[in-house]
Amino acid sequence: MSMKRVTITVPDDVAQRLEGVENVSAFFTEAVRAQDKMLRTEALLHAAEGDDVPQERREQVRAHLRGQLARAEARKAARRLDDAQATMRAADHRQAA
Amino acid sequence: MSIRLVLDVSALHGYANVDTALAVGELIREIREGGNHDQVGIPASGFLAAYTTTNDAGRALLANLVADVELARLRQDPHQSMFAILPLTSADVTDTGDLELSWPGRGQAIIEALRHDAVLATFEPREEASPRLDIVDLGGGSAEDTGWNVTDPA
Repeated sequence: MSMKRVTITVPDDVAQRLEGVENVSAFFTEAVRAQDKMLRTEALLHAAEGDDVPQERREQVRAHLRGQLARAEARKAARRLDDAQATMRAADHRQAA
Repeated sequence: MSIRLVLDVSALHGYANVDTALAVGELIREIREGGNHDQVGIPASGFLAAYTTTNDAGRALLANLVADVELARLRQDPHQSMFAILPLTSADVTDTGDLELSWPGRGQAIIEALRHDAVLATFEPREEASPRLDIVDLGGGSAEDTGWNVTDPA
């Protein structure tokens, strides 16, 4: 991938934030790409949803989905625990044998 | 690539319909806020099924999803898209077919959700799905809530 040198000017708070950053070019590249991705995704979703979504309805849907995702994550965690316990039991059996 | 969510055909139809897109859109936003490299998987077979059974406006919306994925591919960095098209490989074709017979519209989506330890998003949830399959019910269990015409796959 070809590269281009860009000189930018930033406010003091951003300059301070960059003081501990080892690779400023990589930092800005990642930030710009993340912002570009977010804007493109938001444009796609907005095009599908239309302009007339009441905020109350949006929050209602979001609350329902957060609950669903949280339950899914809890089930995943329980399965991982079961799997880990089964692995430990199998190892104990092998050691005993 | 970290696929955290897989859309089945009902979710893709939902995205392509202004009356039901909100639930799909909000779920995608939830995933996006979870991590910068988390992605939403779109099974190729589900995409084709949705694309060929929606209207022109819906097709345009679905085509734009693919365009976003293609842009990331051209930039040689798939993570620059929130979405990933999941190809149907020869290894999965028969299993996908068998799953389609028992639960139409999501055979490949189920395989991909299990493979990536991701959540399957659907407007047509089933209680008796695999115990290892995590499902998000986009419609809250009510067809009236979503406007999506739920059909009994049994």
